[in-house]
Amino acid sequence: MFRNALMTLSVVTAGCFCAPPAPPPPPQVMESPDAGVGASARGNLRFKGPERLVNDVAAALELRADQVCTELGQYQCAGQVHNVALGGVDPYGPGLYEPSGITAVTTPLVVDRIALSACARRVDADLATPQTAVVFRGVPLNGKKLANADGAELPAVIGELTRRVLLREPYDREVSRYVQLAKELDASTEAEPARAWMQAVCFAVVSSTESVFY
Amino acid sequence: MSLRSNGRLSRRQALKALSLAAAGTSLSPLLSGCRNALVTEEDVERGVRRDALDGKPRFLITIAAAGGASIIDSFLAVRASEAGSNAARLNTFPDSAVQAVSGSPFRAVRYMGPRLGAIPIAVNTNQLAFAQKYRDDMLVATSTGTSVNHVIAQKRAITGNAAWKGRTLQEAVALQWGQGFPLPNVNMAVGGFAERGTDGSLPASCYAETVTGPSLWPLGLDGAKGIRGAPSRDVVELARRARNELDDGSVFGRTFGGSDALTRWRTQRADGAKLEVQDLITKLNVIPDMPPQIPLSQYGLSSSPDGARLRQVFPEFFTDPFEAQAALAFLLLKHRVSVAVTIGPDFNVTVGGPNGIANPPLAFDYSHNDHRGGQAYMWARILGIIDRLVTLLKAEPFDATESLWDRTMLYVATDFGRTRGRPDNAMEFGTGHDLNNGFLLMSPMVKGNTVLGGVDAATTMAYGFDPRTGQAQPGKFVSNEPDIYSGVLTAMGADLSGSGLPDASAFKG
Amino acid sequence: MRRLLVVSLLAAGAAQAKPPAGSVFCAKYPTSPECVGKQPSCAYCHVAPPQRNGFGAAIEANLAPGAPRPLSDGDFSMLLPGALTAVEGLDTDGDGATNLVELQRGTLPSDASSKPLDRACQGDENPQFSVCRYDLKYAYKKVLLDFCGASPTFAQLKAFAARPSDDDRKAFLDAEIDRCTATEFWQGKNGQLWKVAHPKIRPVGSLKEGEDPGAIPLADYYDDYALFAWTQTGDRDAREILTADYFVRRQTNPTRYSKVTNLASQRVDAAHRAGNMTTAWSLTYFVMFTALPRNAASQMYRAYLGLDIAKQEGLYSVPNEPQDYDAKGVAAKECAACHATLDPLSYPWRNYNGISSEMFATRYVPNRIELGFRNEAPRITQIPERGVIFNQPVDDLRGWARVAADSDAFAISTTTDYWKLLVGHAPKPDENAEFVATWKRFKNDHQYRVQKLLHDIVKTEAYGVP
Repeated sequence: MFRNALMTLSVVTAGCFCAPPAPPPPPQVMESPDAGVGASARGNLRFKGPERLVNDVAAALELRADQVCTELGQYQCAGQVHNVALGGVDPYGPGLYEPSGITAVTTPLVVDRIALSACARRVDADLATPQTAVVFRGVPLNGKKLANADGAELPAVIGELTRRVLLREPYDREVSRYVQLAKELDASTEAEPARAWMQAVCFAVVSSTESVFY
Repeated sequence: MSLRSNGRLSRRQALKALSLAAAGTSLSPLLSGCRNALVTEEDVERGVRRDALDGKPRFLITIAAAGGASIIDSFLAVRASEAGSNAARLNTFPDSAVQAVSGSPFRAVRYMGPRLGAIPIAVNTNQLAFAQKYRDDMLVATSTGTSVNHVIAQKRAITGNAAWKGRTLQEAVALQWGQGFPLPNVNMAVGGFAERGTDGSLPASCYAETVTGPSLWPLGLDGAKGIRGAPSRDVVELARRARNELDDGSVFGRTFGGSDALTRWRTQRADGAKLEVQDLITKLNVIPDMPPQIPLSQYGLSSSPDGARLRQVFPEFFTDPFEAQAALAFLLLKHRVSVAVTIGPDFNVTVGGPNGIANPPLAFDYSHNDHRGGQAYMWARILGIIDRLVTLLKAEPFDATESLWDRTMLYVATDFGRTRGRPDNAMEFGTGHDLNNGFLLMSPMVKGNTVLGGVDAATTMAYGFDPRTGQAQPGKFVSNEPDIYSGVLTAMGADLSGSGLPDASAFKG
Repeated sequence: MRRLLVVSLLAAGAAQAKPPAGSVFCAKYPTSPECVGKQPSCAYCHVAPPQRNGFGAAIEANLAPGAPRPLSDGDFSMLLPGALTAVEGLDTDGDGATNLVELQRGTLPSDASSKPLDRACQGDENPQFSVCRYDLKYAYKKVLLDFCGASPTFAQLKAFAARPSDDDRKAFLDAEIDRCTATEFWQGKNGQLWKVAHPKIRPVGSLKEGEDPGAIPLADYYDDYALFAWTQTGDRDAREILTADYFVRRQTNPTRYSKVTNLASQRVDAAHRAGNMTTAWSLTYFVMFTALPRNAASQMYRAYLGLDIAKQEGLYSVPNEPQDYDAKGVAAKECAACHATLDPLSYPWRNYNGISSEMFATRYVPNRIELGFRNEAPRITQIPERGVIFNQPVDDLRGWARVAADSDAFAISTTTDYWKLLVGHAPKPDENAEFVATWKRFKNDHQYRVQKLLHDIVKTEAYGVP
């Protein structure tokens, strides 16, 4: 018992026997409307495109823009490799002077790559230095697992992510679905279910339609 | 087709073909591609019939010869002795520079010049070997266009000046044969060649996927592979499922769910999953594992099994975008990703190649500066890429009886021709844009070793032909953009019911 | 939908445009959105001339059936109104709206996907968006994304919502637009203004001179971007993109633009400058080696006035044109319809040299044709410098620029550029009333100040209603 507790503490603090950081403030969870949401008649949504997407992900996860995603560790995903897939232009080389204005088949995959890359970096940093964790702070661990998927800390983290990425408080449906995701991972054969959950929930929020369209 | 001398595939080729066919079969239910399996009344209205879908796709490679590839500087060149008193002031060649292609109506230009306009590189080209090698798969059709504006003319070269509701040839091919293909139409060209057609009634996947960086573009064909520190595929899938469920039911999703953008996005997310299933991030990846610049293996990635071979065939792959495009084009066809692929040089100078300049500025439009050198240099560039690409396609089995080349149409699209005048007997001179020209089509499906139309040697202007019978019509100089458009599709065996296109039977082999 | 266009209803089998069509159409339907500051495009009746769309085919069937083709312009003008009346009650594209309704509402009578939308707003509750009216919170987020390149933070959004009144929120939005348009994202290198400029300048990297040089440096088009950014910011007149006799220097870190009299990279003398039409890059790339640079004229017409002659837009035929001074065969019947506009539009470039001569490269050279192109065609030296734009004679390119800059087409084109950038698409038929009001304010009230235009666009329902 004591040994387990000590292990938990040691993982959380990564070798630092300081007090664990407080989790984010509890979210003001909103009730999901059952039906009858007023629909937009104009339906005029726009995809964020390369610059806005990276700027927003960087700001939400407190990364530098050049840290958000690189291919092979050196080629910027949005600015270079996948610029056109993200709706950008390439005027000086192939002479692509105007954006297509619509997303391409590969755009969702590229968005996923950017979200996964940024989230992996954020989670790595938060787990490595819990005292300065930005998003995933105050989450009690039990070894590589979440100590308590039903605790208040997970909704707090979900709320933090939602506020940072979607600029609002989470709905109850979102909180329960992401908690369910934690349980699914906990029951899986994942070697590091806690890390996997953090990456997964971050990825899901960052790559959601609400995050990438405006 | 690289058949053995007895006309059959080798055992290895046959097995490979069968495995591909089997893979195609097993994947087809997953891949909705450009159109649905069943032809609806709407499809018939659009010009697609079930009988065009024999389960075997046909492929279109459009070579976008930007800037104005002049047909009288290649396969319809005119000898000075044929032009009579006008020879000195027209773009005619010394007789010795225009070589006959044995048993063929084609000609081939031999050109040697000390420099390429202001660029101090010697030009030494000869089209004869190419013409002799491919004459039976070559058809040249003379043309008169309707615009000498690059972008407009380029677009008309792929739409036949809106001959069929404004859809491009590539879109028409994607509609006809794109079923089951995850990216039916990939376009790597520039300007008007890269533009979308104006037929808004086509399924979204018929419109081209634009690729400007063919070397690294395949890295975007998987949402997770090669991302350092990313969770396992299982975790990603669980996260995606949660995300997609929430997206659909969220207030945002319900508010904007009817928008075109979100409707398209949902379809594209589903289509993207199909790209991952095929591991195209590997299969289409020509770049080598070459740390530290290209540390593929360190990121859990690997080069295509065809990578080394393609880099050998296209050694300027890294520096010459046209070579990189050609390599990717081959893989897109080989792996049944696309039925229509468009490649071509752009207007930028490309440094590289054996003499330091792979692509002169403005591509064929460098003819403004040095017509003859520019045309010779660019034709050699285009034909060199075609030769290597066709060789690859011939060696690649489509199924037990056919090669990929057997089912491929290669259309050398270009903007327009060039003006014919030159200062008396000048060998280095500049030219402008001219509506009059001709197009090269190559395929086992065309009526090979054929020139449709002809050239009036006294003026070097190309005259027309009857697109149905192929009969030459000296004196005909009217626009025939729809004939060329129809000819490409007719030769491919497309069902053109309801299209209103002219009968272009003369193109078909 | 393009503007100031001519519907070229072509006689069966004859590739002959009918320049009167647009004005006849608009005389019959003066309140049609197609006729406010513009005329319908050829696409209204054609897929590509002479191929007609369904609407064009219906008109053709009612246009003096049985009469020999082609009709004269006079007959055509006289008979077209009747043919239009005859098809008013039809629904040629089968979208449920009659042709007359589509004509009146500004949608396309030959495109089933273009039909009048009655945006009956669903009154259901929505916890995040005010879907039935201008949503200030929604607009605030969009403003920051569009002009600053990043969303507000959660805290900023809360603070915005907590402002005391809608008027206060609107004032804050205006201030944010002004703040963000000073950022690198908006006006810096490769920023939003540069993106608007790309299709106008059409850069080619390998030919770039100066900063970021290409393999064969010929001209520095960053100067063109600098002038563009200058004219589109601050309290400046956007028309100077066509009329400026000065240049603009760009400094970096942070980006600053400043007006200068001369630049080492530019060669046209002050007396002959016409904004971005006469920069070293424009003359290098659009004039290049040609005597009569129709390409330069058509590119400027397209880029700054939104009129694409190759699509038969903006045709104002000049009597007795084209003269075909350079013997290109443009007087041929199938060419003359466009070249009767294009050639007089191009004459004012006759003394602006491209790169045909190193000595005179990218300069204004009096007697340029006589010096460099005398032998190209027998009458080539007769090319006048006087030209015609929008049926108005002009003495030279600066006169051309003045007429162009003061035209409705310029105001419409500029407004369209920013409408597309901010709203995300070219104005749709149901947005036409707001669009027309916006470009008219840009021209009349704001005297071509883009900064004020941006504020106006943000205030439209097209921008701010979710």
